[in-house]
Amino acid sequence: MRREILITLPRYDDVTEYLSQFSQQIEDSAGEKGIKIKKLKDKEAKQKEFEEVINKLDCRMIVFNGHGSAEEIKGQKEIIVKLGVNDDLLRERIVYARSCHAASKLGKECTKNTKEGCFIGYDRPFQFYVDIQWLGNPLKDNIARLFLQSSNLVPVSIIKGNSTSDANENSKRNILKNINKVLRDLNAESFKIAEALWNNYEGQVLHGNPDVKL
Amino acid sequence: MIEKNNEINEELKEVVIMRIDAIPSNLKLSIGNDKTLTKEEMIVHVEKGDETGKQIINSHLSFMKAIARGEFTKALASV
Repeated sequence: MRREILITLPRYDDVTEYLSQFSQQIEDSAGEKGIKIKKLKDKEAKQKEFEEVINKLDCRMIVFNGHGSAEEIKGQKEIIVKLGVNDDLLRERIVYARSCHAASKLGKECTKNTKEGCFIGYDRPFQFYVDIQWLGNPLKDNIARLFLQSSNLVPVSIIKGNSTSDANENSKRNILKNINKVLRDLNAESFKIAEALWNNYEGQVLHGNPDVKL
Repeated sequence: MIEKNNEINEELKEVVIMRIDAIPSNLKLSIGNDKTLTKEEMIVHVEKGDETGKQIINSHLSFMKAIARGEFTKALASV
């Protein structure tokens, strides 16, 4: 297995546009560490391409952005990985899925009886608020940033050499710091943002080996 | 989290709708497999009691429970 990363970057609605644009931080971190990152952007984020690339490059780490459910993760509108279909491609790898629910079944199953496999994701819907004035320019949206930078810390910490367990904890601590921050700057949005951040804090889970590194 | 027979208590719906109504109009929420939702769209989902509505209710319930149990305050004090 190669010390490389595969990342999916679908873009076809507000949600995937935000997830993909905020993934730039992950790409930059990999670049700084000299770790190759293979991007499956837009129409490339499909099951066929995913399977071809992961079989060819054998990347140690996969980052999924996209809609999801307990048993599947989507790429560009279509399912890219599904329990019982191609979840074996995730085994023995480090996986971070910024997708709703995917940790609850898919993440649990694909790390069963593995030595080096680890899956970090969410056992409930991953939530974030956006400020509508920045829908056309997501990276300027400081409300969405509170959610997406904290979640970026999972792959970024792993890229920086941390264990999967430490990366998960770094990200979760950052969520709590952001909750403290929004509650200190108390305004009409604060409690709603804190509530959604708390949802991600409680829902972010790790399955598999907590001690593995990239 | 929602009632065992998977039906949503009407009083709970009302509480959640009141809480959603306090969301500023400049915010939209990404939750589940839906597009981003305005507060008006969130309220419609909660009123219907569909999958997205249940996810929204569960999220509110979970937060209120964490506050009531002291878990929220304890976690915030740890950082």
